[in-house]
Amino acid sequence: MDDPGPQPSKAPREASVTGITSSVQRSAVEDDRSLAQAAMRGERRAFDRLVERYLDRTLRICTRLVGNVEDAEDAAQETFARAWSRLRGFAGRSTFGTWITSIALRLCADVERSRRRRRRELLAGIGALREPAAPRASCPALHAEQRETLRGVEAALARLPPRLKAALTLRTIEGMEYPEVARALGTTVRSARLYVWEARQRLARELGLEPSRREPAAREGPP
Amino acid sequence: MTAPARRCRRARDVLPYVDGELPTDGALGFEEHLALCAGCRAEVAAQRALEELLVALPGPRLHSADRARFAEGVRARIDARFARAPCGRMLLRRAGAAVAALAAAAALVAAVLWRHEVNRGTVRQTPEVAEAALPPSAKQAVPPPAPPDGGLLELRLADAGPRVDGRDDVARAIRRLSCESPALGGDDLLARFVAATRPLRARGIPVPAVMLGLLRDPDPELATRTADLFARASSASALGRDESALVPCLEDAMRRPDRGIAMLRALVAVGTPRAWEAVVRAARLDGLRAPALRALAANGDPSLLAPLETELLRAWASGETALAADAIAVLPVRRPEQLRLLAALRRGGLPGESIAAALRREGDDATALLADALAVGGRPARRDALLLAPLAGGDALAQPLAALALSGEAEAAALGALARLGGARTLSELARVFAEPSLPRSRARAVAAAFASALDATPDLAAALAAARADRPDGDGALVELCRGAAGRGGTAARAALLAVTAIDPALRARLALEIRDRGERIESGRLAAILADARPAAAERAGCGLAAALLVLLYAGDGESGLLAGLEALGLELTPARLDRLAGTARSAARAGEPRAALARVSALLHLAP
Repeated sequence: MDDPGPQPSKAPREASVTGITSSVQRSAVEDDRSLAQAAMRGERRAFDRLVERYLDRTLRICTRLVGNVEDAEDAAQETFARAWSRLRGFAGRSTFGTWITSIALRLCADVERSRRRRRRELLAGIGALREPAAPRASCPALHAEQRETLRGVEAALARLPPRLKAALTLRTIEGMEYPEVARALGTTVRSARLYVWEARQRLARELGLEPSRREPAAREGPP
Repeated sequence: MTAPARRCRRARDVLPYVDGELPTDGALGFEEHLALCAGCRAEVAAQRALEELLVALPGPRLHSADRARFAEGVRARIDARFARAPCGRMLLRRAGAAVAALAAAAALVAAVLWRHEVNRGTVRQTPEVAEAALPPSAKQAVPPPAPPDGGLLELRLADAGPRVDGRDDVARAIRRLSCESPALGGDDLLARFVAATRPLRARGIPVPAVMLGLLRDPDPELATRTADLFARASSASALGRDESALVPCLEDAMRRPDRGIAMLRALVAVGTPRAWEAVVRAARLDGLRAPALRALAANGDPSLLAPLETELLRAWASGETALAADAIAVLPVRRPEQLRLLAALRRGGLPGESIAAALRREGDDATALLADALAVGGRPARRDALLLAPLAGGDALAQPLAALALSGEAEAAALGALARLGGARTLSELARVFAEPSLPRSRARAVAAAFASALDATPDLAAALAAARADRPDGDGALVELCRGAAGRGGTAARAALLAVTAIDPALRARLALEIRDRGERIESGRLAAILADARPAAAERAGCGLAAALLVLLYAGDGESGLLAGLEALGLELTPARLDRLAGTARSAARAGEPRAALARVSALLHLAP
């Protein structure tokens, strides 16, 4: 199996649990910054390393947000290309990962917005709305039943409002810290939390995971 | 209906707890509560289950080749940008016209963005994120946003009345530019224009805003050149993402017949969702119908396909057949949605040739899409694929179609598609289905009928049958059986072709020869004699002897006794006159009798006992 590359998103969350910022993590952030500075000076190889480092995460996020791999790949490529041309705007106030995520979110939001607009046009044009197909990710190793369940989760995730979907993706799937999520979304930490919790509640409701549905007679008592 | 259970007052801590956001003390306290509260416990379990599902969602995995391709794609995009928007030290290397172009583009973008933000009232992003959303040129180039002179609404109103200040200057610059540099390419022309209008901007003339007004200028030539400049600026990504002011002006001007096509071109160059919406509307305008439909088809974006379908069917219904065919000719067929459109058009009555041309243009991509739809697609996708498969050309889809037929799902449609497909693989797959022991008799008849039609649809039948045999070396029995039963021109040709294949078991070929005799089909005597000569080594065996006898009877049926003599010569046999007489008599009865097997056995015996 191919090496999926470093996973910069998971580390900060673990670190915050213990309350310690590891030196490894700090050096990774500094490394990002120095690579970004080198890229700003026009060093393509430095930027290539940043692309390699954040490729998987960016592609994952884009796939969750736009719903299909082709558009996600397009959005992810555009994210990096745009990041290159805007490197001078990266002042280091956030991490490079957060910064690139914010660009990806914006691009994905554009894709989503244009889809909505076009759907409205379809309604006006032909009088019927075609629901977009539920996004499908292929993973032959999964059992059919499990695949079906996950497909349901993907479909429910796709139906979430874009902002909730983005917040949930960054926090729960990518494991980013709330301040990072907030910065990437361009909102406050409090709002980011509310988005994630609202998204979780909606998903649980939609997937029938709510206790009231699963166990109608939940009683007080020890486990 | 049961009454909703009362919710525990600590249920509000469930999400923060699961999300790891409760402080340590709070988390410990909540865990104590969990030990006592089944409701909260269930909610925590539900949220944990949800989290497990979310984390288990399969994500895209890039293999090393994909990673390289991805990185290459990023580099290509950067290179495309770099040509226009260098950063850092590279900026210094590219001075002159490029810088001027960026500066002007920035002025234009800044003006549009400034107005946009003023209209919106709020800017939500943090400064860094907001900066990320700006086009590169806006940050690298010099000028501040254009002054709030007038505003777009006033500009548009001004078109009907007195001209906005600077209109003549900008118009002159555009006209001069076109006269002086007719052959310049996109970026160069833009750079020149930017340089030429720098003094105007210095005088406070809002060049981009004036240009918007020029799109509706009475002079169509001037409006066209202005639209062209906008198109170039957009292609050079110099307009940024927010073309909200430009698109309505272009669409407005597009309705005038004397400049419609230039505006349409500019809209396509802008390429934002809003611009494409305008292109959809252009497809309903008489003068722009054909280019707009062509542009929509060439784009091929799934969200544009429904209006495209509506317009193409409308064009078809109103007799604009060439227009519909022209649009389909540029439609990419690389996504299931595009297949769906082609199927809908086919059902709407569009000719198969246009659709076949679109499918064949994409070659393997379209075939792979169709194969996917047949194998794993949902019912609607499969229905579309069954409709389109015969148009895709070649027989690459024979296998998934045969699998469908065998599974009993959409069997009639799958067999119908195979029948129209033809080709070696189709014949081979149908023979495989026919040989399936579990196949009910009624379905075997349907398979045989499809086979007969497939024979008719196969161009080089002898070669195709040979390839089909090579594909399934143990399938001669089914193949011969199907060819024996096949009516029509294809059946006749197939029987004649298989009769000549020496590798097929002689007994099977003898049955073919009998079938040919029963049907009264004629095979040229020279060819039959050649087949007999090939069968000579086998004629010593019982089965081979039967084949030789059947071929002799066929020769007799065609050419009488001279045919018989030619056959004997081919076999290398010389009979005594008495025995020859007996043979001729037996062959005559075998050739005429309703029950030829006994006569054939006698012929066979006479040959066996020769001379």
